[in-house]
Amino acid sequence: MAWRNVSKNLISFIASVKFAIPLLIAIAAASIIGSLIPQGRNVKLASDIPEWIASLNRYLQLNDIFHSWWYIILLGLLGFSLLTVAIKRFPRVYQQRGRGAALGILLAHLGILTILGGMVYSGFSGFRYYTRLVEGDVTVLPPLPFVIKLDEFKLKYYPEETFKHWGPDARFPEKQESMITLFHHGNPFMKAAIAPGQPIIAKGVTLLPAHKDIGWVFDLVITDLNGREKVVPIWPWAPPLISFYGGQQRYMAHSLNYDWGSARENEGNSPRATTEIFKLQSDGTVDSMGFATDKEPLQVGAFTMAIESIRPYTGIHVYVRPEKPFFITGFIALLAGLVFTFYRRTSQSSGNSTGLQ
Amino acid sequence: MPITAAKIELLTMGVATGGYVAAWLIYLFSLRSDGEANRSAAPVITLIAWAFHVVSLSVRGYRAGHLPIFNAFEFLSLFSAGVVLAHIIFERLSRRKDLGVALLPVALAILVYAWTLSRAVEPVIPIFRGFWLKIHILTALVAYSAFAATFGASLLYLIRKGSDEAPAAESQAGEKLLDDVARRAAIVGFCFLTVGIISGGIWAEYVWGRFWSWDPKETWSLITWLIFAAYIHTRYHRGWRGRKAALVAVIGFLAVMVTYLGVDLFMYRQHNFLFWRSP
Repeated sequence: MAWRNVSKNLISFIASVKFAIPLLIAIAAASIIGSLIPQGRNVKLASDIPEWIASLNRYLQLNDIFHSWWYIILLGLLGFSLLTVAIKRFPRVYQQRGRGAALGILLAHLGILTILGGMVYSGFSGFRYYTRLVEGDVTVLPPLPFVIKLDEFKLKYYPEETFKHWGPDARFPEKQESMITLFHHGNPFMKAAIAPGQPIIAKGVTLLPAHKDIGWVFDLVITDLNGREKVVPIWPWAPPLISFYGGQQRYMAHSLNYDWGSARENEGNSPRATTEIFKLQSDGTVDSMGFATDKEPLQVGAFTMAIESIRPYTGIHVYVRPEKPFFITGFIALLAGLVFTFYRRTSQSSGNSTGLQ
Repeated sequence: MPITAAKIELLTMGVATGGYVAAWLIYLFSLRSDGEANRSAAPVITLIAWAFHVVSLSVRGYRAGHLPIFNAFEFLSLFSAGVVLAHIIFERLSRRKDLGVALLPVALAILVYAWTLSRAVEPVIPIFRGFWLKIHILTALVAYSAFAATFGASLLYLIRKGSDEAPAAESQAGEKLLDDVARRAAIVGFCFLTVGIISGGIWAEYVWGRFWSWDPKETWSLITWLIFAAYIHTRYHRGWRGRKAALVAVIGFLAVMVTYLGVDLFMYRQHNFLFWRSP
């Protein structure tokens, strides 16, 4: 009996504004902290900070606040509060202020609850990958029921002077389009043009190109004095370590700036692609050996390094989002709830004593 | 010297800025001297200046070939015009002639900031061309303008509450009216901010593949939404009126400013397309 009273009082408290307001403030405060501290798994603390700060950081997951256990508890409490408000307060509001207001408040609160439910559901279902498509290559992602081939990548920038007031290097694409073919068991079943902001859905999977992650891959062809060739594919997102003489000489290659227009059109004398070659010394230091371009190979000791097979690539998001229906339903309910709640309130209070017309 | 569309845009914006300054000064001096005649001239000047501002924005839209909402200068100019429109609407509804004292400086500050930015006409880059982005920007703009009205009325309320110059009964009625202006504007702002956040999420889904990614801009818009949710709940369920509600509204508007300006200036975010460089 006592337990029942305690739980009843607890639910009444959670359903009250007395509980909801501090909770909203707590979520807002936590969000402010999360916006001020750099977030992400790659964020590292300085090595010389006191151990207790490092422990606190680990315990409270301050580098990943929005996915931390305590932030999720706050959102869970908000969800529970919304649910209890919707259930417990609906009859009273219905009696006091009529059907419209009660329905509005119910819809608004259940709408937010549905969106929160969608967030939780997305944590347990669906999948999301980020990969890169290289022109001419077929990309295989094991969970997908198909493979993706990037047939052609089209990119056209606005003229340089269009955005020069943004800064000397600022350029925006006027057109960025990936022509892809999807294969199922070796047979092409869909050809499509995708672009940032224009995804396609194939067999329930969304394919959306990234709007920033674009560039070039190429082969670095290394030739020694005896004419022996070694071909090393250079992918800018994962520059390889190039070893010679059983690892006694080690090099790295980073792709650098290039002119997209001339690279595609192969116009002019300027290099289409440039890469900087670094030599890794035995003491861990790195020395620049110079630049190789597609127009001019680089001579490094006994080796000649040349760029060949330049091809564009684009990043792509591949995902299944089963929570989408939750979000859409929640959004519609929330908006309808706001209209019902405030339209009625405003029309009811328009003739109040303040004189507002 | 030929008159170009660019010159008309600049000229009309200059006239609007000057008109707002003049109107604000009249509001300010007539408030101090209680000059009724002067005070009634201020709304007319505000309205004329606003009309010039609308002409300036229309010419801008004509020159650019799209809605003038896509870069910082265009958005801030439109935001400023939105705050003035909110002022005109709430002044007319409430018949309070002192709202301009608090609201016009907000509009002016935004407009002056806009003057400092590049006014170059830019094309709309492909990812900005979607329907949902337009809805997102326009609803956010209405929300921000309404919150500015809440801020102005609340600030004026706090200032009036601090001084006891007016007779008690008249003062109380005036304060109640300001409180009501703040409440109504906050409701409009809250509803439009909700639509703005949702439409922004839908656009983000198309561009980044996620409704929500805890980008500082998104996070601060959520913080603003939470503050105004608390404002509305405390008003309706806890009976907060007057000073307490006004203080929450002022904090809410500061959050709006952080969302729009603070995040742009001090925090890296996905929204910042400046970080896009040619590879």
